[in-house]
Amino acid sequence: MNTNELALKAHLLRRAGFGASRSELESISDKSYEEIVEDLVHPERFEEIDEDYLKRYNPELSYHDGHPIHAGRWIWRMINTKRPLEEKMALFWHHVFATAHYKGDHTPSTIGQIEMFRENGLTNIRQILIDLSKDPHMNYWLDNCENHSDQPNENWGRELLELFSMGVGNYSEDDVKQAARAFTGWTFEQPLPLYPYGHYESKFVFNESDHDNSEKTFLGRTGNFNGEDIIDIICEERATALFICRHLYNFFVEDEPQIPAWSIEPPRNPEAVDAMIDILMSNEGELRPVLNYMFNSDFFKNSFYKKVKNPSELVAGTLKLSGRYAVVPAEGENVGTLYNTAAVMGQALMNPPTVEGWHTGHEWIDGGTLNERVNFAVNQFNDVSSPGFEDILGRLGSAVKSVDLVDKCLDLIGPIEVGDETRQALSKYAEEVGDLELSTDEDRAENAKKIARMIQLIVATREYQFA
Amino acid sequence: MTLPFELLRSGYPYYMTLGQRRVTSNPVDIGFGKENVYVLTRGGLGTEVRVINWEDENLGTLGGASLFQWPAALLVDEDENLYVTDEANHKVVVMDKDGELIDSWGEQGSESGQLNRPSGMCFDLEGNIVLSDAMNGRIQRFTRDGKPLQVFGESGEGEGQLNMPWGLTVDQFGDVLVADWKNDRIQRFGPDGEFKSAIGSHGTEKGQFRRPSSVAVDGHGDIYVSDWQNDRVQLFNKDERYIQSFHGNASLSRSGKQYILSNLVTLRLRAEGDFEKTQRLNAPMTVKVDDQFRLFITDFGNHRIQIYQKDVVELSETEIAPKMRNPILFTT
Repeated sequence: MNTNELALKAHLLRRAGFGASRSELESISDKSYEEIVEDLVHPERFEEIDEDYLKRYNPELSYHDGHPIHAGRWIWRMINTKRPLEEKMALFWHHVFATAHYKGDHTPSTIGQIEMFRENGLTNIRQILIDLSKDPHMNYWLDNCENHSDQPNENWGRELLELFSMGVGNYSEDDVKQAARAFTGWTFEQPLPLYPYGHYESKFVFNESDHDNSEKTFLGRTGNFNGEDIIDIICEERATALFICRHLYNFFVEDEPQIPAWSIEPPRNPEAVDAMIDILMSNEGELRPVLNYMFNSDFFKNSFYKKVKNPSELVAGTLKLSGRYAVVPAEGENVGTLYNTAAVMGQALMNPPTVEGWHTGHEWIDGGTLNERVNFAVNQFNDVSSPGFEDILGRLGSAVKSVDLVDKCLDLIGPIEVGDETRQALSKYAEEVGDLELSTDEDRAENAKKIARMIQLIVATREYQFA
Repeated sequence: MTLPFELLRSGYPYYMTLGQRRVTSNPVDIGFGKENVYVLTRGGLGTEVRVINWEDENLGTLGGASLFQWPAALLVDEDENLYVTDEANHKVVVMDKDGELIDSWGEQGSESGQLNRPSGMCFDLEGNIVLSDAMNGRIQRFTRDGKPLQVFGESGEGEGQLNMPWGLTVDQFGDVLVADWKNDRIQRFGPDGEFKSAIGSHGTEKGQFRRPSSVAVDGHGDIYVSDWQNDRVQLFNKDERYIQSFHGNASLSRSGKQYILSNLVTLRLRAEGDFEKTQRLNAPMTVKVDDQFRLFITDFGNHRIQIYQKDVVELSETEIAPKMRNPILFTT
């Protein structure tokens, strides 16, 4: 196990959040690792982020007309929030319950679902599944608005079982049909048209006259089930706990095989997942206990660099280091551009490719996306006047010896560890630039670019792509 | 200039709606020419000056990204030249009514005459320009060609101090009323910049604000505040006492009606929806009043202008009983 306390805290905040600048790490230096975990799973202990400046300078956030600006706002929240696990759980559930904007093209519902995950993401599996079942964005995405008592539509019932709770092999085709019948009449209020004055919100409606009130038999239980009864039964199943815990492990601990393989590939660490299942089930689906256990476990503490950063993590984490997209937007800074930044890396937030969500791990990386990832990270340190780089420069003191440059820079942007091959390449550059004086404004002006170049080399490494 | 002693407030009926999405998209300010209405827009659906007329016809656009990036306020002078503050470039841009650039002034900084995100802007009684120098936490007065004349205020939360001021106006006595945005209040300064009074505090109750973005004063001394995050406009009388709120009563604009009537699906969807929602304000950014006592609200989030018409009877001192020291229950 890596015993370096600072490195361990940085690891925790990369996984449970979106990384941390050195000043953020220093601000929690008086807290133990366990206390930080407690804080993370209780975001309500910290103030909600102040969005006033963001909305003043990106005023289109005041209306719901096009999702990119709102997806960008989400990344901005990832960068600036004091409640990082709140945003991380919203992203987690967005991965699991993948719902894309492109079908409904109704921005209030798209962003409403993310707000819902932000609010309920740390609560209880049952609550989350019920909220999800009543969510207009999901309802339309999986056609439950077309699920009528005299003409059932099975799409929602099927995906609820297959991709959102139990997984393939744990239910029958007839269970799908019965679940669909139980959700008949679960629909949403017709929203007003986009023209002439923009979008208006919708909300869940239970249309009792369109609900199938007859008896159903689902997973061996028989009764006049409604949708909530179906979710109650699902939540009693160990398969559901396995499904959720495997997702948690994949998202927070270590890259797992992708979902289509889960029915044939066992978890990478079955003991860890089993322990998480037991905790989840013994706490009746409450998420905080299992997250608390997971973050404090040895398997988590030993999982350094076992996950490829997803694009949101890479973008938000790098911008935390550079200090851009802060609480008060810089002149001309539009958070909507952050949507495209992550999208070209393969993660168009609020627009996952299918109901299965994004494939993660090494599948984030291909020739095109790697190029985008590296270029983005490098470009953030082109500007030596960025607040983040100035902070790094200030921490290097009045001079830095060539032999220390690599370690100091690796420390200040992580701490992160690199392999021998990478270290050799970085050291070669450090030797080329030699000892650097930083004591006067002239020295700093002359040498800042050289140090920025070292930072750029580090964020371009293979190791930086991993969380 | 004297104000009526008191008013019989008959009402403030809704007058009309101008604009629609993709025409007056994301409006942040409004100005008036002899025949045309100029709507300053800023956001994903367009950053420019949209020109319409009182028949709600779209006459095209002026300005745009080549002239300004973060426009915040619009003024129209007697020659129908248009002045626009640009928060991103710390400038005031001036163009004629055909959109030709005729002047541009301002530079970033904190010295007198320099600007850091100029936002709200108005003419004073002499026709000079008064503007909110937001990130410097102060107000500055300039000639129309950008020569600095006066600076007052400083960053802070105390009386006379400002935190990210936004909209402002000059009343008939030369007082400057400022939407002290991050302090959730309106502050009144005398012509020499001395603090005179403040209205409001943080909150959602009557007379409280959540990030007020604009202020206007009409010929009766009534004060209008766009209470941006509370999605309403509040009215105070000349004594700064709360009178009423406007939450929006929009009807369809002429262009909006034409659009809906030509789209069968849109007609159906509107017939199915909750009509009340269609009337309310969403992030009203600017409030202005004209000499006909019409109240104009740039309903930013709904891409339109909501207009009310004041209906009052002006009263002299002899036409109303004297103010009472005590309240009475006998109100016959």
